[in-house]
Amino acid sequence: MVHFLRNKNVTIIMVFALLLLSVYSIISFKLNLGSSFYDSTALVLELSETRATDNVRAEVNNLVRLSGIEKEGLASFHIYFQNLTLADKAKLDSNLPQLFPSLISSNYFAYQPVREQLIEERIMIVTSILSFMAMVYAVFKIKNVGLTRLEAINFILNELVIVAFMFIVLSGFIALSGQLGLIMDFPYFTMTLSALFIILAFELYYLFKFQVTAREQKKYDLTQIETKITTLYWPEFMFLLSITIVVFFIPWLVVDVNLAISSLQILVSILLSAYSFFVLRAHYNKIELINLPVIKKWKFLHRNW
Amino acid sequence: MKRSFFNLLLWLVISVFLFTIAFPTITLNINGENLRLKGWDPKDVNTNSVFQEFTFLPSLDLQGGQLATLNVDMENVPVEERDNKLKEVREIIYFRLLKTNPGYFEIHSSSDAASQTYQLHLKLPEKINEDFLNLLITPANLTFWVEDSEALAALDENEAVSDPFAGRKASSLTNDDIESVNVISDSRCYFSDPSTPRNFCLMLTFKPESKIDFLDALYASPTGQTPLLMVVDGIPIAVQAMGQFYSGSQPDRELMIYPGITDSWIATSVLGAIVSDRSLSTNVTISNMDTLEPLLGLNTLSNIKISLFAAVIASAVLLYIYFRKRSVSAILALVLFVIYDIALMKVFNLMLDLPLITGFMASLITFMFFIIFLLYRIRTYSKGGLGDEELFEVWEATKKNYRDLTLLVIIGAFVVSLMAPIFVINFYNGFGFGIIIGLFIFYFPLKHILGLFFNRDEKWSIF
Repeated sequence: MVHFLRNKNVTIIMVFALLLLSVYSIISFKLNLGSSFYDSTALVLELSETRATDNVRAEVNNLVRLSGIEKEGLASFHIYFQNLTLADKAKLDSNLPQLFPSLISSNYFAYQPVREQLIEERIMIVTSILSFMAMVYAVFKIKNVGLTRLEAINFILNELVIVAFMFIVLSGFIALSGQLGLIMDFPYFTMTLSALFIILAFELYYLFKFQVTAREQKKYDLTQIETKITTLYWPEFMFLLSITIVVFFIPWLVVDVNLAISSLQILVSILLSAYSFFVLRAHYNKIELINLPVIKKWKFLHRNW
Repeated sequence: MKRSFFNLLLWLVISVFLFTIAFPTITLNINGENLRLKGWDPKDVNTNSVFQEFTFLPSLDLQGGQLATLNVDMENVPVEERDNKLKEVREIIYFRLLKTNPGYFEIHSSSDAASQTYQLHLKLPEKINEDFLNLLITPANLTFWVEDSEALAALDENEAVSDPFAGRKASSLTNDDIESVNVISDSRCYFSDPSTPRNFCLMLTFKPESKIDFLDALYASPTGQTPLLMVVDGIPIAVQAMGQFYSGSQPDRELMIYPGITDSWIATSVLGAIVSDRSLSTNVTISNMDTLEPLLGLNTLSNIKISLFAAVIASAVLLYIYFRKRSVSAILALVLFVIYDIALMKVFNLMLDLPLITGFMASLITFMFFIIFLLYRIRTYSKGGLGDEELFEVWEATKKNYRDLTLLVIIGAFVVSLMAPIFVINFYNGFGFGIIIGLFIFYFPLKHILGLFFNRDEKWSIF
């Protein structure tokens, strides 16, 4: 299986297929944001006897897909809907008395949450600054390992492209899960943060291994280093992967259904990290992104980094 | 990296001490009686301690809280302006709450034009004090009353004692003239007896353009016997503190106020919050107050605790299967990491929500990555155990990489705390605390543990 996946043609087809699907998914589906981000319709149900929240959620969800539910006191429920139509309202109104015989009242409200100001802009700024810092860190981690400046630039660019590929595929998966009906609220995005963290953690792992292996090589040859890392460290990598699955993915499966579904992002990021370690780098790291003869003539790029 | 019994004993004592803080609350039923086991808090030692508890703050998503529903009276507001008015009221109450610093809270609005119902929903992870909430939703029309020399001359003694407004007139100062309000502790904040100042007072700063009006009000009392009176919604609630003197030539825009309410930080800050912003132009009343179930489900927190505990045990088992007897140092480091990190987060009273837990897990994974690097390096270095210098070299190389990462995380914390949304900040809190604790373990206890188990000259050596 691994040999099949490591085949050059299969890799090229897979990478392009994943990229195309992800970009299509991002552009077409976008995000299915929940009631914390958009105004919605709130249905306040007041019952005369207590019911479990999960039970009410399931009953209402069978009629109209809800985006959130809160239980106030013992028998009052605030149920949130995105884009509730008049037909949905009619369906709810006609079925709620049968579903909940102890129903005292049901009222609809236009619900407006207080949103954090400029949330997208702030996320962009924080991401940009942290990415810049991570790049500076990576640049200094490969100092004095026997690379020239041009090789170092090429290595960093290659790694950036690999990380970008993983981010795009993960984003595509997120958009697709939204299209499949998953409501994205803060718990969902907390799992997204965890998934991004895992991609970066395994990137950091590769960087350290690169640092150690490159130092041991007498002459810099990226393909040789890559082969050596995969050959020498694959048991260690698999072990780390297992630990990550045990600590970061499995616990969510037994906690709550919504969290379990959201945590699939973590699984996707773990699979992507494994794919880039075993397959992607084997082919991609041979590519020199900066190989223009004009640039190669610059002497200062051939000094040791 | 030789064995030092003194150091090992010291870290054992520290670890036991931190374990008593990190210990989770467990209720046991023995012979029909509930026995509650929990970690210790400063208040168990000293009831007057500034820090009362070593505990996680509750969060709405995992522990639930309270929901207060507020009705906003829109009867006198034109129909087309009601939605905007509701947003305005929500904003004013939001900022008032923010200034009282109640920790995490949410406030949302809902409306139903057909039934003319306009509501605000305030969610707090902790119990809401109804008295303070009632004060927070008052209109807070602010006026300052100054001495009226003509009325004062005609005043009889009984009237002066019974009526606080007697001999006074309203100045032109209102809410709109105030720039900021701060809660302060200052020995000048007394009313008549300098030896009994209040613990908490208010410092009002007027806007630069209101300075002339402020000075007019300040100097309106020619005898100095009738200080400025602060009136909120027609009720006299505070007076000018008598300990604050003005030079006369350069008086500033600040006024120290002596409130006539309970002398506590929370009461004074609530008063400060309502006078520091616009007044509410509509009537807001509490409609209902009730408990709110955890937003992520009733048993989610206990399930997370159990599954995380199982995950840590499973990782220890995996470590043992993979590294066999060499895993003992890694498992010890893992246990120390969990104890130290939980203890530190409890000491700092972090809010126990989903992002914090995932941040903690991220730091745990990072720490384990480095511990596994270290074990690999030790294993590949020598099959027959390491000498003192060799072991130091291996430890130093891994520690250096971890230290650099910690520095990066600390610098990142400045950016995140300034700009990131709240759930990212909470994730980063969990992550950052763990990373720093990991560095601490690398620098101190781990050094001694490695010396004990991997130094070939030690009798405890497991090679």
